Amino acid sequence: MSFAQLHKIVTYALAALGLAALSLGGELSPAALALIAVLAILSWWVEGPRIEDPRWQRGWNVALLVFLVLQIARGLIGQPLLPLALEMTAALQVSRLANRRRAAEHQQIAILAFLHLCAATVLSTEIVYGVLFFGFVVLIPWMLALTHLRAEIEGHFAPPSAPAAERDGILARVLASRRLVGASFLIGTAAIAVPLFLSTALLFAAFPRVGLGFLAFGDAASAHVAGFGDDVTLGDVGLLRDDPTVVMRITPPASVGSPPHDLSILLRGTSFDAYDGRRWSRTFVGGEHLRRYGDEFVLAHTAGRRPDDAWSIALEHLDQPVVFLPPHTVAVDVPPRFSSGLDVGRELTLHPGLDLRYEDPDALGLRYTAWTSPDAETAVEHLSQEDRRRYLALPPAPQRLAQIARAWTLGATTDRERAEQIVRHLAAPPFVYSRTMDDPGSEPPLEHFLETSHSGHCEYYASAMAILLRTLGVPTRNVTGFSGAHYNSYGRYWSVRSGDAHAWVETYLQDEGWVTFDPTPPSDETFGATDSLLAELRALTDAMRSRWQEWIIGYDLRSQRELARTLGRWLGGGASETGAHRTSEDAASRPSPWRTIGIVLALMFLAVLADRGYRWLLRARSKSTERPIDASAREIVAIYRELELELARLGTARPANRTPLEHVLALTAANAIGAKVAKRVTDRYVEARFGAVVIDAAELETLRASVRSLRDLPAASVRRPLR
Amino acid sequence: MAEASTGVPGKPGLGPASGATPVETRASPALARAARIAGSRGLRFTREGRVFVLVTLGVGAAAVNTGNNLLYLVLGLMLSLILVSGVLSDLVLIQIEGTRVLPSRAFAGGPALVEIALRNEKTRLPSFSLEVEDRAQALPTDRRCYFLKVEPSGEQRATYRRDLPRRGRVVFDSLRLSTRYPFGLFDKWRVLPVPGELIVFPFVDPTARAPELSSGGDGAPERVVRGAGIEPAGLRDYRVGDEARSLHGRRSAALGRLVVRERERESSRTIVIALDEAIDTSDTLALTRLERSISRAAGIAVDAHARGATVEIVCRRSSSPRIAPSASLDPLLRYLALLAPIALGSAPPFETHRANVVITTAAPASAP
Repeated sequence: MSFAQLHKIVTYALAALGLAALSLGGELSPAALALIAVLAILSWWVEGPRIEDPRWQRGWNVALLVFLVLQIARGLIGQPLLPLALEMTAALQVSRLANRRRAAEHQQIAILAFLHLCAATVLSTEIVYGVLFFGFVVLIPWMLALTHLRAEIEGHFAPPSAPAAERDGILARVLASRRLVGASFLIGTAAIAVPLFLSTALLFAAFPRVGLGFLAFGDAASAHVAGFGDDVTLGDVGLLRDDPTVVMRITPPASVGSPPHDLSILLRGTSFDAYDGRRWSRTFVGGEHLRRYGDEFVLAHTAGRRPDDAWSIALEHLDQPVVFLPPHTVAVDVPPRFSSGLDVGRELTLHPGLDLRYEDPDALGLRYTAWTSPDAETAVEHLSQEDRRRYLALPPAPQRLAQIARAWTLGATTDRERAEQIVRHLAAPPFVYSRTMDDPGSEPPLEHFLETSHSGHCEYYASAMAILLRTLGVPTRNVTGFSGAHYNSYGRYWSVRSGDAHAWVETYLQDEGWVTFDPTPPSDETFGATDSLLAELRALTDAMRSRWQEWIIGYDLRSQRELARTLGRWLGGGASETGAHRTSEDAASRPSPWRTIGIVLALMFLAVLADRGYRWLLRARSKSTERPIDASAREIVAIYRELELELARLGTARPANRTPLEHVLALTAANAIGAKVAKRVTDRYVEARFGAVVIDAAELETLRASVRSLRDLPAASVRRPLR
Repeated sequence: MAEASTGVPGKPGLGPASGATPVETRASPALARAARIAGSRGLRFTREGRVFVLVTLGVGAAAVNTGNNLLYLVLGLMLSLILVSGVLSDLVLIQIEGTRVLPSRAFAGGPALVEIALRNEKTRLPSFSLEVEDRAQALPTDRRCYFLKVEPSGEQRATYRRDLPRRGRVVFDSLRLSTRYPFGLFDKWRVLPVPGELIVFPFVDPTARAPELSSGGDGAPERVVRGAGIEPAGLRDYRVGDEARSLHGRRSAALGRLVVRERERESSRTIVIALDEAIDTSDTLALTRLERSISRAAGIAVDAHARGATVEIVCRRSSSPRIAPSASLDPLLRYLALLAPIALGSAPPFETHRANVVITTAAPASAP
């Protein structure tokens, strides 16, 4: 591949990355994106005389000016400025691509691509940016190196004084060279990306963070999950069953040895108390800030017993800032957030109905630890009269529901038995789980579900149980949250998806408090294949996205401190910081990392020494058989060799077993032709070659001329004996 | 001997193109090793590098101000590019040996072709985009050779023309290797001590002519005297002691025996040029006149030598070697190249009694 071809490919690849970065965040319309893409692709074929034509360049300049005026006008009439600015930079890039003649234009393309990369930092925080950034890291060494070489070629191989046509011809020849950028150049330059990447990562980790981990111009996209707002219409929850968007990631507690692939767990979000026949709502008003003890918020006192498990939960930014709690949660640990270099403690607000919410000013979601204690005895919550009234409130005309409730709970003597019988009825035929619902028409949906369709999703089952129990005088509330989690082996966490949104009930039982019942029967409808290739790719992507969010977007001063602490522990031999965490049994026998590092470095040093020693030995052997020739003696050596050729031609060649001086003596004794010349040259040769005598240029020339004069003599084959 | 390959007499010759033996200078191994370890190095930002650093600072400020981690990523990339660029430019410069090949003859007022050779001692890594500046004392350092690529274990040569305005000794001391590879952000250089010396012969005045001399110098008619000379006087048989170059190859082959050419001996054709190197130090134009005188003397010497005369230059303080017609004129030209002026007040007397030509700085040269 010629230099010019490679440079063109790399230029377009880098420009494409920059333009792709601009498309992040959705600020550019599809039409604008399509136009940019088409123009950029068409510019690939703009070459040769057209690109040198001044009219072509002028045309582009005029077009850019017109476009700028147009963008200003659009801004003045009220269109958002950010898309206008992005379109303008994209247009600049397209114009450079269509006018790439010299190294300067390629430099401008690189600069614009880089600006696009910078601009994209405020457009999106998704992992796609990370992929584009990685592409930049790989391409930028090639681009900069090739552009630099091109600039040097233009500067040194095409003299400014030469006519333009001649200069272009010279440049074209050099740029068409395939020897300049061969495989070694490509591989070597590509290899630069490795130290570049490592260095970037190191600098990124080490640079002190003094601000927030993220700040964007645009609104951060939040995942929408119905069921956690102030109201939910019957049928909202469950319709999202197909949505695979991960909304939560749960790291298994230490007590879980081998995490199951599917975790059966109810993650409680919020509850609703009022039902009007079609819609659940919350009638409670106000909430109270939970008191914070350091970073911990206590939900239930466990009489001094320490919680059994810690569930680390990373919650995505949802449209409702609800804190989801595993069963038997007694406390929640929420690390502070950083603002302007300071730790700012989080605030949690507890609303009636165990609705726990957090502040979300930076739209980054929440990372917290839920401490659970399943066996702890906690105080039974007292239900006030007012709350009892709320949780017993019935929809209009509940007579039919009451009849059903009484029929289903015949023989039950306690509230618990009543609840369990209702669960049994709803779990048995003819009731089946289904996401498809008949249109109930004018009939109330619950009555239609219980008496006609007998099929529905979780919201129907929960609503039915809640209302049926209320007709029996058992305070019950509708609870929404998530059910189940799926293990992601790449990220080593359980992921909770949007489609796992679920509804169940909590029933207030005397002396027991609020007890959870899930009346929804198991579904035969599988939520996507969990072992397909697509599912694996999705899991891998989510794991990468999770790491991206944790270690790049959310990387802050606390993360740096934690990283430093981890590094320190690792270098110190893996000793636990507090001893509170369980360490592996062989921690004491694990070798210190320093020793390993030292051994590796020592081996590398020895390898380098061995390599150097071997090379030195090779050089020494090759030189030991031959005395090095000084520069000054090279000429006399050449002259002597010429002499030997002439003597051979004259029939008086030097035998191999005779030294130069011996041969000269023999020639002189025999009065051979050329003996005088041979003596003069040989004497000076020996003096210079072995005696370090320096012969000046004039004498060298004289000696050479003497040797060449022997050419006038006839060769030994044609010489006749003297008469 | 063959005609001096300096071109037409009176005209200054070029360097290696004239066929004269080039003189190679290179750093001795020990000196080169020392230079490798502790040779002078330097770094400066290019214009693009300055802009790049400014932009990096801007991105850094934006990152710190906003706390945007993606900007920190970009900042890390930019800083890494600066670091990697510095390391790679070092890799380009290390293990590069430089050699200078000077022309064996160079004349003032004319250009000389100097050849620079770079050898890449690295076995795997090529060196890209090397610029070599040949540094000579008292001469402008605007002479550069560019090497786009030097293959590993390979050698690349380039030449440049150096204008030599004055006669004398030109001392080369080093080669300055510089590169802006790979990213054009920095210009990094390294100085290789490569000493060398070039004796620049004086400008040969092409209008100067040696005086016509009679053969005996005493008015006797010219007669053929057999001896070593240019003009052939006849052929005779070879005798032991005859120079091989006198052999007439064709006649020897035809006759079947060795015959030599006999030449005339120019027994009285000797030109002695008296050149007064003393100058009045208060005269601002004295040095200029001296240079002109030296050029004239060179011109006369070249002309006389070409016409078969033995030439010698006599000055107040010294005299040049006597150059036979068969010998190279270089020692005499070298003498003139290195001839230094002396103050008139302290100069020894100017002897002209032996001279055929007298050249002074105060008056035009006159022939006897």
